[in-house]
Amino acid sequence: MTVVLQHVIDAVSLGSLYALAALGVGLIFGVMRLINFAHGDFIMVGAYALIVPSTAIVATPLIGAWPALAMVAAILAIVVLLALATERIVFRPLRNADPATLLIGSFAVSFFLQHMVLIIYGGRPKAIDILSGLNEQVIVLGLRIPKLEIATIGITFVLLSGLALFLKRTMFGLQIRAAAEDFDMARLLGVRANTVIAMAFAASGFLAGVVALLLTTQSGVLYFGMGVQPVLFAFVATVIGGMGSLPGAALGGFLVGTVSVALQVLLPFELRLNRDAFVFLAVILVLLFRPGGLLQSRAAKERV
Amino acid sequence: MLLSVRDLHVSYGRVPALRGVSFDVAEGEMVCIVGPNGAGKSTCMRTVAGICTPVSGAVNLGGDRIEGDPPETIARRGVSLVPEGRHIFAQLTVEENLQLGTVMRRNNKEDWDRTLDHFAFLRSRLNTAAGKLSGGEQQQLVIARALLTRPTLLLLDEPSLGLAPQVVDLIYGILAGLRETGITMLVVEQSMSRVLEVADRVYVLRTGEIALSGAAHDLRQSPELAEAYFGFAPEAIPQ
Repeated sequence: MTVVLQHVIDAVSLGSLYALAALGVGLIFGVMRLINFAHGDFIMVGAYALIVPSTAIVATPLIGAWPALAMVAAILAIVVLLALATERIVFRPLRNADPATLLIGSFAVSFFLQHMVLIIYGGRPKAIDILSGLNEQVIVLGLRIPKLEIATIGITFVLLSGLALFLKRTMFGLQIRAAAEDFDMARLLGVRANTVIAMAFAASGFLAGVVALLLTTQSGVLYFGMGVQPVLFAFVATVIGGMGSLPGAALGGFLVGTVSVALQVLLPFELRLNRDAFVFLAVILVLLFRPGGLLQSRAAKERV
Repeated sequence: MLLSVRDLHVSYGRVPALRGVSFDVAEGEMVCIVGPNGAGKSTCMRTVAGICTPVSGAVNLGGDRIEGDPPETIARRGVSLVPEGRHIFAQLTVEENLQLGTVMRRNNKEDWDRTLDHFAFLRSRLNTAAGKLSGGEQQQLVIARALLTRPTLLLLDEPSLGLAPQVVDLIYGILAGLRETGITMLVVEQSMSRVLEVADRVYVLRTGEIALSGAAHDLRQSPELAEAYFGFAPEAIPQ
């Protein structure tokens, strides 16, 4: 029983991380129909901002050496600003382009950011230790739970609730939801496209910043491709949750996390290295039965 | 003149949709553009509202050029479009749909109450998902939402499209009532009979050009109207 509970907590924690990344991807998709693959690089830049820009092998903490609160605030601010800058410089001029062009735009941003980091920081993975207290374990009812897992689950719960309240209870949130459903109609009612899209990018950047801090605390390693895998899983989560549905994105994130941990536990030892192949197999099965995702947004039927 | 459109050319790629269209709407008037499917009626509306950008020509609103401005800027100047196909936000509640009509102005309790008095059935449906309303109710919801923006010019694109005949009567009753309040309206319709009863002036649009224009009561019985609409005199139809 204890072992099962341990795995459940691991699954919820990993799912939380994917849910946060999936929401970041889902918010932008909702208002722009853009699958922003550069989201992973927002995470990566947020992580690299912790250290002194240098190609030296050993990382010297910069923002990572600041007091925890200042460090978190600075990283979140940097990633939000980066997300806003990419919107203003790249995605705003492409706003009316077809989805394929937007997608290629996001790949261009992704490669640009990765190569900038390669030039400034070098290509070797670097070790960094932040918020190390969170890697200690607490023992609850015989379970050994890393504090980081508790923090990840708690932060995700707070952010999901906050985002839900923002979208449901504020006029800006209402405008974002309306724009996600029918952008042209929202604009015809005076909803400012630039404001809504910038807000979605800022929120997405904020979530990427949180993921950057959690991932770095967990792994202790910076690598220029570190954002690729989380954003790939986040994208898968948004697809199985139902593109365009934010609750779907969160649910998809938790499911992908749960399936990953379950496979890690249940697969024969020699197959565990290929776990992700089985995760994607499960995704294909879900999509075969529900091509529109689990919480596909029900298009309104024409009514007479 | 509240709205003055001059020599408007609009294309979708290489396909011209409007070829030198000009029309006017004076303050307090109800003007109608009629024409067969594909004549360019919706393109006229979408261009005035800022969704389509013209190749050339001018759209003057209250003396200022607005063509090419983004839709939200034009909306904030008082133009409200009720587009073809209603475009409710199906996943939002009725109340949230109405709230979106107040994005540009806050503290408008008076307008809110007046709108709910006018469209009384909405009061009991405020928490219903808008997608669950019937077609006629949805059409009333989008008109109510457009009125909450307190428009100086209300654009209605085929308000009777896809609705049962009794519901069309209801919608045109509402439009006639709005006309009495002095609100300026530009209505596009494919079916002429209903709109000619309430409009002041009519433009007939055919293959992207104005084929005929005049006062609605003059054109109502005129054979010219059908000829302009169909492109040939009705008596020429072989029996």
